[in-house]
Amino acid sequence: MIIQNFTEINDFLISVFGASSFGIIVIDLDGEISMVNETAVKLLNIQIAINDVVDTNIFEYLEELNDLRDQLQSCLKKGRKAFHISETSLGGKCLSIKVQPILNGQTINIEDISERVAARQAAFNAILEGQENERQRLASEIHDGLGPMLSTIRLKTEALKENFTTEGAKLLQEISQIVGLIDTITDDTRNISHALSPSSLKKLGLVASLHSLCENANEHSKSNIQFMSNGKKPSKKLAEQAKLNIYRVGQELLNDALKYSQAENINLQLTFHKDELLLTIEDDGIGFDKKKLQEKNGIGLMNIESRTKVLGGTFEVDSQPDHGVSASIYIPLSKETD
Amino acid sequence: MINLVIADDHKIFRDGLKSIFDNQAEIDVVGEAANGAQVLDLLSKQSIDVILMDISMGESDGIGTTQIIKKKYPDIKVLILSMHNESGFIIKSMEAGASGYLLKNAGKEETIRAINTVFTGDTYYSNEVSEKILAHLTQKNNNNKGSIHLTKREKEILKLIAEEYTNPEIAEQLFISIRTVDTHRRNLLEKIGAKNTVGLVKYAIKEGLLDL
Repeated sequence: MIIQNFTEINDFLISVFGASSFGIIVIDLDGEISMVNETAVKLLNIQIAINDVVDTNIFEYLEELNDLRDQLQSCLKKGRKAFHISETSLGGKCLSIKVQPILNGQTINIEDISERVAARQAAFNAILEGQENERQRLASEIHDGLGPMLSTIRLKTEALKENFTTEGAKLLQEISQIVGLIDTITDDTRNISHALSPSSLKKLGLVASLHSLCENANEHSKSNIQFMSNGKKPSKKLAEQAKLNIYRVGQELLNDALKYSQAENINLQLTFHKDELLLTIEDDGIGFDKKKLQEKNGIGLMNIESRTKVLGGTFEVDSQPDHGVSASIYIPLSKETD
Repeated sequence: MINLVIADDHKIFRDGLKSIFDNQAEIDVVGEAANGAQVLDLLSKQSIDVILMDISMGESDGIGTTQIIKKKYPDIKVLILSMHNESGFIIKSMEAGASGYLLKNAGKEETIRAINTVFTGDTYYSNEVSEKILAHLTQKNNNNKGSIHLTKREKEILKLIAEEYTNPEIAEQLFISIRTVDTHRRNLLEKIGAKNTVGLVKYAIKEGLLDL
């Protein structure tokens, strides 16, 4: 194809522009829209005809896109610069937005990444589920395989004691030591099995399991660990998977506090509200600088965040050096039942 | 003579247990079961005094089985013998009507003593188990003080709310974010059962929190 004149080039470019699967908006230095394509109108849920959008101001359409609005406003004030909002949601869609300065204005490129994000979340859920299944399998192998063996060895070794009289004092002592070792292994085995998959969760429920978790930690730690719950049953029964996720989040929060906080007091709390479940942990330890959060202890926090997302909830950490940590997980009670 | 049944899903452990009663004239192991259904089956056929009961027997659950037994045969004594040392399991067993709770690290002597004790109608809890019950009761007691138990932080926030500090002011004083203050405020409303700030203040005054 040979393009011969300006009109032809213009028509050609407009057809490319219109056919793009990216939403594209071109604005001038005041935020007036000079060009917009069909995809952009759709993605931003703009209710007026495409031809009427031109010459209106971009800010009329950004009420629910705070990130984009704030950054564009700052561009208008302080000068244009390129930026990328990698993930933001609008009307149930997930959008990725890139802004580039151009001659006398800026282009806004909007991509619908809902499918990609959903696929990522699904993959993540599958990983979590696989991990939990594997943990459960290992836990029951340990609990049902090693557990009874150890208990039996202990019984038999103890029974040996009877065969010795006082002359065998030395041997008796050794047997007692062996029994002591078996007890240590049994404790370790039980703890490993429990950490892998808390058998109490199904049988005793979430509140009692978190309670036990704190009780156990309290026995083995210098910090004073307390658990509280208002103990109300949520209106809808929590799904097993949701319970497990909440338990794991609690476990992770407590582990982090034990590992890093150097706190005197740690308080884990599960509060049932009418439409929401709140899991909070607080300590009076050394705290940390939130800006340096990412480098430190990233994986634990990532796990908490991912599990919270699976539950449809939000996760927040609050801390300042020397002023302890408060972390809160908000879980809506209507969503996590499925 | 004590007629004893051993209920545990692992044969190797049952065999081990049986062998410790070999020289015990007063204890006669009259039956073994690998799950709850087998226990109930045994009970319907012969006279039993004491059952040594595991909690996790595959799909079958020793606590539920204990409950059924105590309803049908209130005179039969159930002694739990389990790996689980969490207070939740211990409390549930007590509620189900078990006469005692042993951990699987109990030795021969203790096991025999426990069987004899529950046979005479008394209860038997090993030391570790008793400590767990005690710790659980102490914490429960704390939680029951005025039926509402607030954390240190919650008390601080309640006091500041009662002193008419705003959320941003409280956040600044306590080095936390406004959102965290709001979370605490909501938790306080829920825990105290108050509808609004006035209710919180009333509670703070009643509990003397303002004098702290």
